[in-house]
Amino acid sequence: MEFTLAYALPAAFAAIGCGLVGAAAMNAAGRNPEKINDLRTMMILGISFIDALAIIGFIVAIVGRVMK
Amino acid sequence: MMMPFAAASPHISVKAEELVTVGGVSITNSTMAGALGVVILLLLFVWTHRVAVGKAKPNFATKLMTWAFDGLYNTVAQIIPDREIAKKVAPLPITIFFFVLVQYWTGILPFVGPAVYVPQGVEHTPLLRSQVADLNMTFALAIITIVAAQVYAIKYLGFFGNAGRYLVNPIKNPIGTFVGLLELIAEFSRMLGLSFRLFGNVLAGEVLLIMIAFLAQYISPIALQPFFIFELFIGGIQAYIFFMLSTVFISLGLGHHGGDEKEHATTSSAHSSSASVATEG
Repeated sequence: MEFTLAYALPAAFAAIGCGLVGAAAMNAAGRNPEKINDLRTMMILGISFIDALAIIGFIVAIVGRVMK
Repeated sequence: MMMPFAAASPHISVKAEELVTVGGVSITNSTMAGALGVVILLLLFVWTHRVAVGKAKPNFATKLMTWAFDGLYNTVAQIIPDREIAKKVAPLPITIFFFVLVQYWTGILPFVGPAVYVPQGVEHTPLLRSQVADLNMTFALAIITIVAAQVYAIKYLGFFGNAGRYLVNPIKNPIGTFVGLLELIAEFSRMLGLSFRLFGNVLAGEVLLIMIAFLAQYISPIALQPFFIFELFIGGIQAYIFFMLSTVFISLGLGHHGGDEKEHATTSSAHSSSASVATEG
């Protein structure tokens, strides 16, 4: 139960955060289609920060399970 | 020794197991796969250099390397507008990109993993394991990047100019003191973030592949296809993210003193938004 919770909570909030970044990127791309390359770079940068937190949550869950 | 049905039991290990000890230095299984990856990388680089100098004919692999190098160098030149500084700074992030890419993709090869093992006592330890699945390697890459950012900042701003980014006089600018302290802590958090992001992605990919192979015992050749394509894709993305973040961290230390005004005006929005994103992370 701790293992599933330790992974599920960071993943859920990271998913919501990535959705927000993606939605903002879509809005900006709709308004300004010329700058799509810069927007893609910014979006990947923003998503990678949020993704790192979810990955750290996954690592903590695995370590807590494998090393009792 | 080879165990063809390696999906007999899931063998997940967070740390790399040690195989041999040579004079006090332990050689782990990730070191061996890392050596293999370095050999592949050297082959690629030397061949591309021979093509660029003119000694050999270009083929598909070298055209791919040249195209990737051009794209990456243009990205560095966009983030750091000053051409001479971009030329000096670019080799480190681009090498880190190719290194992470080759090491990540070497970890998906079929003979890397629990299928080829060395019997140590009772248990079997895998002979090869991806080099970037070892936290020591990703931490070393992160330390190299952050120290290189500091070295470039000292070369560009001078030693006291760089110290002035973090230690602000509290009498003249009290809020600046607090911001400087936060910047100092942010340097360390960037180091942790870089290392754990790469390590976590590689470990998660390995665990995913092992689990799917364990669950789909005899139809794994069919069931694993989409996951291998996913792993190739994630390897490319993680290498690109590491490259982009190291370039951004180096460019943050250089300040906005260089470049002419026209480039400054068009790229200042990219700088400020990337700076605000980077200091949040």
